[in-house]
Amino acid sequence: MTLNTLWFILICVLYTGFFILEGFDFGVGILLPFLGKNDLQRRTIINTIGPHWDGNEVWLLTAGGATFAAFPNWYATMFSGFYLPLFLLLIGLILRGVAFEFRGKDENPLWRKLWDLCIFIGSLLPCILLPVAFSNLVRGIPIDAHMQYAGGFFNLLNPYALLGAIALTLLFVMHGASFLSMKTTGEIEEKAKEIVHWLWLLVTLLLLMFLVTTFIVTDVRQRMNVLHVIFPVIGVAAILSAGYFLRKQQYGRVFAMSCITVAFVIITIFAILYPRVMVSSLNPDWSLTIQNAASSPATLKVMTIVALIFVPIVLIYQGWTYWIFRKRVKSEPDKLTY
Amino acid sequence: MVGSGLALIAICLVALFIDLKNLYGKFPWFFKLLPWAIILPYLANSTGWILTEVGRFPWVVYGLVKLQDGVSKVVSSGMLLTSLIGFILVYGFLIVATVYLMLKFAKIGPAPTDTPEPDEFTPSLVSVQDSQ
Repeated sequence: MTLNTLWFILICVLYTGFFILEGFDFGVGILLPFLGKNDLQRRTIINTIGPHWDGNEVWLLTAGGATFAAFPNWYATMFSGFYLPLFLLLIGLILRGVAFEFRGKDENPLWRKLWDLCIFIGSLLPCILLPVAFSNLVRGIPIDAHMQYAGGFFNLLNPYALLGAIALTLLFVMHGASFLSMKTTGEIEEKAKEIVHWLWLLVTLLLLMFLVTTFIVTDVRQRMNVLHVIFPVIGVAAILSAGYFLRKQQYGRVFAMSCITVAFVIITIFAILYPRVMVSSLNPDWSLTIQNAASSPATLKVMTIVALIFVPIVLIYQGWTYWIFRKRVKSEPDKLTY
Repeated sequence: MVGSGLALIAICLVALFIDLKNLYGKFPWFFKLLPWAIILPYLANSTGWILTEVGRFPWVVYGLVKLQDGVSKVVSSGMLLTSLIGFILVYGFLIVATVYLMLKFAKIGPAPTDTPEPDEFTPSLVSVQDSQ
């Protein structure tokens, strides 16, 4: 395996980790106005993700950073080509991050409403924009011979990308609701469970539609290999098992299955991309690949050594935070920090 | 940047002198002045940042890439203007919220700690504030 392939896989792992982790806290953020009937309930809901959301978000930064360092041409083409969507993403993440910290600092109901709105918008925007971006990477966008994006903002909002956005947003909402069903008690727990029950069938159908459409609109049929079958099958099996565990009311397992579903949606997208990183819809030769978009071999080598040392450390301390905060969050006002 | 850094050092030295000699009652004007020093780290940070950016001009990567070679070809000036206005609005909003909170908590004063410190170990700074 070349270092280029290794870094492609590592970036896939980072995005997969990001969507599994931030997927549920985005989902929780979107559910906040619907599940939290009063301020105490909303505080309880925010406290379930309080210790985790910022650590989860770092996975996105690391994925972006790894893209920049390992595949600078990918980074340049994507960040220039998707300028406005990424600007909106940034605005969403800024408002969301500040909102978590600021909302609890004042009692005024209007103040809290304002930041709740920021949490909602800041969670919804990335859930829409990132799947739009990923759908477009794999579907192909107009990229010219000089690795420049030759389309506009509205090229990105094609039906396939919008389907991906809707399917994944609802998957994240379901993912978030199943997280809440494990982390809360009483009324919130019951309502979260109801939402998982409501959403499961819809999410399953949308994901299947997205999968079928992916096989129609991308070039995967001409380059099929065994992984293009295995990965989607695991994803489909996971979402179906989620339904099975829902019936048996084993919500911990439902969450585990939604984690696997999220993971294999992302892994499937990367498997179809490989060895490209951005597909050109104008000419297959103009696509960005793990070869023509990569840094020098020396850079990749240094990065590999650094990554092998630090990634395990980060994984250990992130796992530790989940262990420390493993208990359910109860609605006890004096113990809530957000 | 350098000026505010030196000013901060000077303020620290004066404060240390006042604390060591326990001259709290003698320099009330100094304590009136202190809150305005809050601005200095921000000033140092921002001007230092501006210095490095302007100082590197016309390079974006010193000695390697010039500004005109680093410009994205597909990002139009309209997009840049849109994002610039967007960032100004968002950060403007955040400044208002931040200043509101800063003033609010400054007026409330320091929060009582969970575990009261034993009196005999209370540092002089705290005891003087308490007696005022």
